[in-house]
Amino acid sequence: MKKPRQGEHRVHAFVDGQMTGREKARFLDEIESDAELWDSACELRRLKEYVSVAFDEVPPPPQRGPGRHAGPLRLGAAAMFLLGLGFLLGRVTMEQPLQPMVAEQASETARPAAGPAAGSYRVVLHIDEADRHKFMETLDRAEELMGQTGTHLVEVVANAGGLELLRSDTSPFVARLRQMAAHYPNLRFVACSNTLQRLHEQGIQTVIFEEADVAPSAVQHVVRRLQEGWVYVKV
Amino acid sequence: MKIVDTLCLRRRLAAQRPRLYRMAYAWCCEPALADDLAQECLTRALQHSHQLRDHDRLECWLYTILNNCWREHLRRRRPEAEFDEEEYVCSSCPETDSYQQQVVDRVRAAVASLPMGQRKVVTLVDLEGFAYAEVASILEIPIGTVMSRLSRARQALQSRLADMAGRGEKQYLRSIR
Repeated sequence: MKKPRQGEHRVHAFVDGQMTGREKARFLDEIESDAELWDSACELRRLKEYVSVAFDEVPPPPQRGPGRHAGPLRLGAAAMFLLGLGFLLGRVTMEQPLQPMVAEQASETARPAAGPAAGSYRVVLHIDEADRHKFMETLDRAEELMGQTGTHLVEVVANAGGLELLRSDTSPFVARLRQMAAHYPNLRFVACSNTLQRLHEQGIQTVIFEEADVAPSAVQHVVRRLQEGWVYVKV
Repeated sequence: MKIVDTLCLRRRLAAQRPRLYRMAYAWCCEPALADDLAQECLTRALQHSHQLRDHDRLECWLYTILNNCWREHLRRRRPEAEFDEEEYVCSSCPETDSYQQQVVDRVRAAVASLPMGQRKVVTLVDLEGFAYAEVASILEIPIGTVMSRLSRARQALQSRLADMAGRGEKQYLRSIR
């Protein structure tokens, strides 16, 4: 193939909008009196349009399923499975904490058919440890999200030790919880019924903060939210 | 990074996905592979989001990652062969001579037949409108190489698509008679 001539680069730069104002003015003066240059610019412009139009609509990617070989990029389904497995193992083994990285990856790969409106977030904040600093961090993060411009939906989901945050008999932040629940209508607190049941079986009487909802299972609740495209944040 | 910043970045990355997929498809001609490349690119971008200093350069940064993903894929596929992207030509996208084929398919086939180095340059410029300097940064090549590859790519495309307009005119004249 022949080597491109120096002058050709100017025509390319012109059709690609790579010239400065002065260069462009000079080129336009030149092109008016040079039919060959004019034709060349028109041809390149046409070609550029062809390429652009040819890839306007590309074939959709195939569905990710068992037929496609496993690879480092197909973490979505695996992450979702591991998340659920993590929860189930947590139930069996004294509710061990989830692996946050797995959950993060799961949230990245969950692509909802119809996402939230622009400028809005849907976030699950998950707390499963009885740690005062983490309780505070959870509430701080929830407030930070709710304070942003836009319509946001935030759920604080508590299970295992994290349930203490939502228990009026143990939570150090009951007043703040009430204040936040009153102030932010799109902020929801969700307690895990499985954890409540387990505490009950151990003879521990629990009183859940009155504005909190109770989900049958934190596992199912979080997984459903991930499937719906919510962002998962493990505190 | 604050949680809100992270969420904003995630949203911006998610919005880039269709364009990354399109670019990957233009490079590799395989929908499944293009999907994997786009996904890998976004995964790496999230993992290394702290390295993005200037958020205005998000797109350049993303396409640099995409290019790295693509190069790594090629190296994995041909681990024992020295890869010369100037020589790489997609053989799985045959160009057909039939005028009946859509213009889109003709152009895609012509693009697919370009050496990979040229293909990347012409698609980054024509599909995403990147400046030459940005393409040089994304592909980590001198700007002069960008210009010469672009020139060669378009020369080859013009040559391969030269008959399209001529045949189109004939078809047009026949159809109005």
